[in-house]
Amino acid sequence: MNKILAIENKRYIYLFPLFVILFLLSGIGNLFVGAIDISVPDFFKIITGTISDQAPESYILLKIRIPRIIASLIGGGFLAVSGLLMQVCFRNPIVGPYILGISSGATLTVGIVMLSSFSLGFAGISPYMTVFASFAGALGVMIIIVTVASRMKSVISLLLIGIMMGYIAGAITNILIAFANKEKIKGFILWGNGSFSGFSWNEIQILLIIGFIILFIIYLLSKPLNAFLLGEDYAQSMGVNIRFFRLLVITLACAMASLVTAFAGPIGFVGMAVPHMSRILFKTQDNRILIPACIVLGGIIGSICDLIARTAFAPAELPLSSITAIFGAPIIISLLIRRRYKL
Amino acid sequence: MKRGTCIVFVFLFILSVTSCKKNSFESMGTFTVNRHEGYTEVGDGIGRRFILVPREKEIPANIGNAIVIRTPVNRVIAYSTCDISFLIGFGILEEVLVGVTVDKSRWSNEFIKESLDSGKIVFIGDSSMINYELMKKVQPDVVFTWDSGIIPVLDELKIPTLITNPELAMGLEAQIKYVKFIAPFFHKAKEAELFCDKFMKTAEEIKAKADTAKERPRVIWGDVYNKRVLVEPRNAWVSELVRLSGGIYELDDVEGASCLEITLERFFLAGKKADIMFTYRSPRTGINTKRQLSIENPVMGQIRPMTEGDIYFPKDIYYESYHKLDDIMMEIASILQPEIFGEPEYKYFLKLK
Repeated sequence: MNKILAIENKRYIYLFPLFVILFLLSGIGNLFVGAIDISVPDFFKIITGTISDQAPESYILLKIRIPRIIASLIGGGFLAVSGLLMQVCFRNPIVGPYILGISSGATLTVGIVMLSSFSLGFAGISPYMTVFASFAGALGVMIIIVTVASRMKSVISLLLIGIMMGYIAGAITNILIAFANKEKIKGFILWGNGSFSGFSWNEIQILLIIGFIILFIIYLLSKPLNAFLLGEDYAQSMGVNIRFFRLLVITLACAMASLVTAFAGPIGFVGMAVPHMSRILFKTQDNRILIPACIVLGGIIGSICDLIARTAFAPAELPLSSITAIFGAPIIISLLIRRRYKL
Repeated sequence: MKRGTCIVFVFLFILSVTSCKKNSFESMGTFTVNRHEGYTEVGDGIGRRFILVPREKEIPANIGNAIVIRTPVNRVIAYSTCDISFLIGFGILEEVLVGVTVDKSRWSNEFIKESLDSGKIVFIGDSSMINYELMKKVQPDVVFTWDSGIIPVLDELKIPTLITNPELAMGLEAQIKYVKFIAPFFHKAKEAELFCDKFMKTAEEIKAKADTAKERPRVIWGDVYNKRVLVEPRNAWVSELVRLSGGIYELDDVEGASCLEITLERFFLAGKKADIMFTYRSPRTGINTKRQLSIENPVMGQIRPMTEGDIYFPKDIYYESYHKLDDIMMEIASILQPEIFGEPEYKYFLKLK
């Protein structure tokens, strides 16, 4: 086991600090760029309250920009960890956090709220209802998957059931769209593009508290996850209760992805690609290294993509999922070619 | 001297005759109209060529791959309420409109409502779920749509289909002239000219009067959604109209082909300076009050039109009144400069309370 999982070299010793610095720099760099450029002295004046919190630059920095930066750093990291868990659990390199229909489930319930709320008697949709609906949808799909997972032995069957769940949710969403008022579809499509825009401090708190509790549990599982990598038989021989363990991993991965999707909408690519980037860069399969690596790299990718989305054609905002794919796919391809990484 | 004058006159006469025989080409945004002897060539919103030939005339040779439509068109299916409003303006709605994609509950026009009940006009399904069998049964001469996705199916059904999305006619002048694109299908070129002249005259009148304005209100125009905002770019006709009416369009750095998403930061900055906001969010889309808008997007609660200024939204009739563009322009001007243009009548817009 040690041979396979061995950290071939101790590159993580210098890579980690380097990526942590990059993580912080990408966040800090984001602070000063936007509709108004905030200088370093002004930044400190705003933080210390020397500039009134009623001033536009204070509102922009404290209420719009900083929550967005934190959301992109944490959200990117959480999606990457969720993807890593899925890839380990299904021993499949092309799965990501949304493969089990989590995104489709969230999209369906948000669609129900956004596209039919008026006819159900709601004059306007509270933004919290969208968040709640998204989380409920993702959770609903997750519960179905977990229930099925507890009865199924084959991971491939489980994967297929997850994909089918996604198709069903997607199909119902399309029917909803067909019957919806055209004016309402616009808001729904915007939500579906995914974005870290408009995060509030309350949402950041929820993201941080729940996310880090889940993350802590995931990190505790990194050793059995390593055993799982070598096959279910091996893991079983190491004392891992396979059925329970698989259930737990899926639950945690789904919860992590649901949490981000609830607030930011579906954001593709990060969850699928960042675990590969981490493996290639850190040259290891060891989940004790990969979990923190995914958080840091996912955060970097998330915040850089968000920066591009809001500044590349400023003041126009680009769809985040498009940026994550356009920006991330070439990185993966080049890493694969240069490092001869085997999936 | 007399001889010289004669030569000049003869020269001018020949010039005018030859120029009359020349093709009369006009463009309005991406739409084009090119009048030839005996037929008219039009280009729709995505540049497809159509040859409009009067029923009694022969189809000209060498028209290439252009699609021939016999005019005047007698049976039309139209997606856009804007296109339909021009049929009202031409006074031919009752005769030519045979199908729509907007159901009865969303129409203000009484004739259309009654005709949908009686079956004179057929609801052929929502734009995302068109009943093609019904469409074929209705036997339209032409379909005006903004959805290019249906073209392959309708080509198969041999129904000429034009992309007529008026949003593609960016800019005030293109929007004013858009009626000239619709007109040749119904032999209403003269009426369209009259519309254009009227619209243009109103625009000039607004500009002349607004130039005397002492104060220039700052305006933003857009859609507000949960965590996101879409705004009209500086090159949209409404933004041009704001400037023409003596207002300052606060989002003059935004350029695009239609209403587009901008960052919350930029919207907040513009909103902080704005006096007036126009939004497409209305009771029709579940927004009845300013408070509901600020619940939908907390940044809205911080902008001036919300706290000190005014927010206006278009009434349903606005979407069916493009043939009264002069009236609409005047109402917008009245909202921006009531001292110059008088208090608005609120025929097309309402204030959000």
